[in-house]
Amino acid sequence: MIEIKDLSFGYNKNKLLYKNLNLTLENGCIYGLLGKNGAGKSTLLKNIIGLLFPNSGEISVNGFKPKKRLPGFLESIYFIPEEVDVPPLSIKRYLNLFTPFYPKFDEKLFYEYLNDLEIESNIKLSSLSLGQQKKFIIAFALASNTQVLIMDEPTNGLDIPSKSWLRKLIASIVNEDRIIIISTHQVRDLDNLIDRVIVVDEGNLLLHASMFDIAQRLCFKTVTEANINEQVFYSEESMKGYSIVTKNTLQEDSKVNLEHLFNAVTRYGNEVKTLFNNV
Amino acid sequence: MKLKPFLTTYKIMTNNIFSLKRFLNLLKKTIFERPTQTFGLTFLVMALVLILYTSCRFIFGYETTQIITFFLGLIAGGYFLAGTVLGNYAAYPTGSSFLTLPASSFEKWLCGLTIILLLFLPFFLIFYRIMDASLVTLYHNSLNPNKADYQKLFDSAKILVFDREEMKYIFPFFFNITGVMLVGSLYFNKISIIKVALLCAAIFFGAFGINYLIAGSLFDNLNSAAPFQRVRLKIDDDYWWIELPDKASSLVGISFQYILPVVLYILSYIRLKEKEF
Repeated sequence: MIEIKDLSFGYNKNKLLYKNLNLTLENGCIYGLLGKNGAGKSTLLKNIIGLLFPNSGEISVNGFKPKKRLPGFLESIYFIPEEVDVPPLSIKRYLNLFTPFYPKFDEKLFYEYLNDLEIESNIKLSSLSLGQQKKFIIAFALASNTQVLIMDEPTNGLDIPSKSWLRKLIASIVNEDRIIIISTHQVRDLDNLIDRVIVVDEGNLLLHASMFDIAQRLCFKTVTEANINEQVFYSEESMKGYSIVTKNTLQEDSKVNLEHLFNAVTRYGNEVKTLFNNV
Repeated sequence: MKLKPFLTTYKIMTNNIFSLKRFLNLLKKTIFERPTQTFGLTFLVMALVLILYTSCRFIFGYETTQIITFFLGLIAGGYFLAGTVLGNYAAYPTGSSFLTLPASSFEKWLCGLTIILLLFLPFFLIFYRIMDASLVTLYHNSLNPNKADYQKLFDSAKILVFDREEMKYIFPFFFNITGVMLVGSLYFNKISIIKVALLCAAIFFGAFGINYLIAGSLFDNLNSAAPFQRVRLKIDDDYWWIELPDKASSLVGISFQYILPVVLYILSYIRLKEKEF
């Protein structure tokens, strides 16, 4: 479990990005961390992994304080940054040097992932394209079997088949002990994948809710004409009329559209916030 | 108090600070992950020392060449290696993967120190001794014993001993410069090697400048002033020195030889522990 209590953080001590942020992330869930560019997604992730230290407040990841960067903590968490860096080694040599640090690493699984991603296993890493390097790191991270897996913009630089592979794979590896956090501004990449959504903007937590809760409280539909009696959080012209996000007063069943949800939350943050008591 | 739970807690705590197995894995990983940065750099330094030695010995003579090449090789090698081993923790984008590698900050720091002090330093000394001894022996063998100046030429080339007077300055300088670089490589995220060199030059010339200005304000007949050493005055046609008192001088010596390097090494550990990315 990841617990964030009264977190305040700022790159400049006089200008805080996060002020008294409280957030609890439960095991067994895939979290989608959404936000615009520069909204503070990577900053939050870096605080969780221990690459940045809070100005005040506390973060606890499975009982560890990330700031201490203890080996026991780092063994249990894998962070894939937006830009990956691979050394000029063969894959075999890379495994030889890096796997001793991850006791739960599954080599067989790793080679299966590489095979799925069509990456040759006898190639030198520096000769791979940037997208392939990212795929390699993702495969390594997934095979490391860490309890917490944090991915910052994992789909950036990936081709369409790889994005689809990643979605399937992430869905298949989640278990009740694991927490997976995926940060992205490309919300469509997370469709049908995440269990819970966290939306941040300029250091504010705008939404933290499960997909089930969202579908219960908001309605995503396409209408030819908007009903003037219902509050529309977001509308977008489409082929069939208007795609809208409204309060789900009639308890209608609708499929959550993450992109529309994100736009609704970033535009009507406070109104949407009031709908979700757990924020 | 029950001993077993206490020992278990103690083991977990100490294992999170230092584990020999993990340390050796980290050392192996650091050395072999980017071999051009470790082996490449060391061999480059050795090659340059060899080239410089062979080309300068007939211009400056053996003794001067030996001092210059030994100094340059040791300092340049130590400086660049120190900039590389901990510099990876601050550089982009390697920093995040280095900092999140499951090893303690102490192990990461100790690994850097081990590479510089326990691997590079002895390796360089052995290399230098072999190179020096070989070239001096070759030179001795090339001399004609029947010539009148044989003994003079023979005596002009001697193997450099590592306990001669100059080494009292060279080794402390090596420890200080590697300490400065270890700290600097963690403070500066980009081109730390250049930035630290500029900073060192600024401190060096700044210290000389300030010292000269202060001495100049006290003496009208100032000729030169070396910080923490002496002030040279010109009185009539003679030069006179005002030297630091013995006690102060030995204190300065101890500070530069032992205290400053230790402080710098400890500072680099603290900086690594506190490093954010």
